[in-house]
Amino acid sequence: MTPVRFLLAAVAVGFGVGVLRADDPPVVPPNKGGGELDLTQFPGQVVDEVIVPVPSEIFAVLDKLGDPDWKAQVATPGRPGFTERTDVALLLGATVADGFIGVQAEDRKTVENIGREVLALATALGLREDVLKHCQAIDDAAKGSKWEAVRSELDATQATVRAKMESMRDGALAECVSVGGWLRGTEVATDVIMKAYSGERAELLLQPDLADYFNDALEEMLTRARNADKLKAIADGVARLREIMQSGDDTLSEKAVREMHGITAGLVKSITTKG
Amino acid sequence: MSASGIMTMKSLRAAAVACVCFFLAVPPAFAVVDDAHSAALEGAMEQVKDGFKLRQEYWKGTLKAGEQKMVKHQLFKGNQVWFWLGTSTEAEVKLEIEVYDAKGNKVSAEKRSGSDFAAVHVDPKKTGTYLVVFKITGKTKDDIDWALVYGWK
Repeated sequence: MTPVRFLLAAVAVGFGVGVLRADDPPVVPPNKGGGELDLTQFPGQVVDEVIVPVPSEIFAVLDKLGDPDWKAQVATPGRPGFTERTDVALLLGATVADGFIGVQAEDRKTVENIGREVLALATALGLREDVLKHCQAIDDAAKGSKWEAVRSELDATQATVRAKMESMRDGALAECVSVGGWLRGTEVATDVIMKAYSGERAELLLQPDLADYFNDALEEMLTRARNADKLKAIADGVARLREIMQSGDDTLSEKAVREMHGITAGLVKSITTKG
Repeated sequence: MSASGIMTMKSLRAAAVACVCFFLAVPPAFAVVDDAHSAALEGAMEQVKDGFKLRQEYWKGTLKAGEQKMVKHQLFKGNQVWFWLGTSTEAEVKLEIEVYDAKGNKVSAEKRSGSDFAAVHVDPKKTGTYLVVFKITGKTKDDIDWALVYGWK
């Protein structure tokens, strides 16, 4: 999906609602569906292909899926030591996602361990000093069972890592962090949804533009990766996830969710193990 | 008002916003670094007090009066979202922001604005990609800085 699709010239888009001035009342009544935007003739610039949500946003939705057995989703400890930066970045993303799962399970020990693992991975990427304060804050918050603070610090850790990588002109590597987290989050979400399937719950998984975006990032990484086979497998898996997401109209079937779970579980295994 | 006076007011505003954010337990990295961002954060304060969590990262740039920008965003049914657009321009401008679903239908539910920010609230009925479209209009020929912040609950 390219920005060009949205950069075709020239028909002004009318805003259906006038802008409020400072002396207007601060709130206007709801106005839903009153205007239309012609996506084929958007006359402006697309700032960002798609904003990738932070894990907290996704887990905020998962909070509303009842009370799944989060302890069953907690990953077993023990992660491989990678030297290739793309491998480390993918694993870092998956590890941050595991931190969120630990929060969902209110598993203090797991979250404390995750804080240490995140620091070790960030160190491998040369970012120890940048994330140290976050990891200390994660540890402190976990010890006090301040779960919301842990979530904030996990989000901040990922944001700091991404910002640092982008400042070093390594945006594609930054996306690897997001890909790792997104795949681990999707693996867990699909499992939770499968255990009490409904179309409404499965709707959470409709994220084709994100899959598209990640696939583009992975394809870019492929051009300079040492471990191209692994990245290619992840890119192919993400492309298949996108196809599945686009197979339904407003939701996904139970079969589709199961297939997504199988794909993400396999990809997460390739990210979190050596071989 | 002199430039230094403007800077003083902006600095005070930035400091005030930073203080409020600190007491609302927003991560320290959220310290205000530019005035457009500061204006957006100032616009966000009421909703933050109401439980909306602000994303630390934000989007910024410059545009010409009347020029439109679009940001695509994955939203989830069940998460309410506010987007705040801020500017630090001293020129007389109007800020406009709308949110559309992937089919181009407007989904903006509620709006707020001040002299240097505009905000829109979305309560997505479906999970999917949404389009945040904004522009700043006015007579100025100069580049106008902008910053876009969002929060959810």
